[in-house]
Amino acid sequence: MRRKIVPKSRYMPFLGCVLLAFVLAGCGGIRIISDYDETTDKSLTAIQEQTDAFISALVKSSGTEDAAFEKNKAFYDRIDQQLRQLEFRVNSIPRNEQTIALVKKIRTVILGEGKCSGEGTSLRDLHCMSQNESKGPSATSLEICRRNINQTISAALSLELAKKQGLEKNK
Amino acid sequence: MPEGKVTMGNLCDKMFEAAKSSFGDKFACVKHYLKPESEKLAITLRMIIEARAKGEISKEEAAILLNQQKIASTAVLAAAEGMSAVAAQAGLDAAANVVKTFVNSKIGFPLL
Repeated sequence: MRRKIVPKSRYMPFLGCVLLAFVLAGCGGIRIISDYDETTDKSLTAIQEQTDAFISALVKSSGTEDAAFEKNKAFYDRIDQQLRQLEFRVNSIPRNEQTIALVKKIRTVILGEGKCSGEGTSLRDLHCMSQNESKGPSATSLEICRRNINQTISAALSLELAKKQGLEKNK
Repeated sequence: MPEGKVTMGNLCDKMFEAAKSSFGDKFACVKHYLKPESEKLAITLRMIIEARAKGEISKEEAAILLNQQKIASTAVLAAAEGMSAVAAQAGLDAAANVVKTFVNSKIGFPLL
């Protein structure tokens, strides 16, 4: 009896589907973005709360010696340390490029590069520039600065929460 | 780029339109996030312009605040891009779950 020969083209699509199934459902699956990270979420929230409280206090003391840059340096050192811890955390998570970039932007808007001039980008630059060094920035500039900082941190938080929602959908 | 003159009144809509055209077909999944964020950016920009016009902030302060706002704008766009990746990831995970359930039920034991 002659054996029936199945042409390759007949079973190739089926084989392709099986392979795709294994790739899709295989160990770990395909990852294009990292999962939600609770530590990142909490760190971002803590940085936002502390920065917001600091700006509120600075608005109240604006125009007095209490708002001088030197007197408030401790805040910038503390935030620098917290940001370094957060950067270390987000850098150690695979496929986390978007969050890494967002944390870098948070550093840029709070601490910047210490240019203390119109070329600056941060709350610290606003505070350490010569006109504000002794009595702090004006309440108006601080309010605008607060909006920019909150929006930047909120962008990173929104992404983290979107990851959480995406994860819960597929449980 | 959106056409027409940009004014204080239509600034938010123009920013939103620009984002819409650059996100293309991914726009649907980030629309709910981009709309209120564009409004916030437009309000902050208006505050900077008005504060400078009234002399409440110096030229240097305005420059810092504008530089800072540019970073905030790129943060919003970066988050929106991340959200579209989250949506794509959710799609892949859902497809993987369907395949997993199907294969395991056919085989009779949890292979995947």
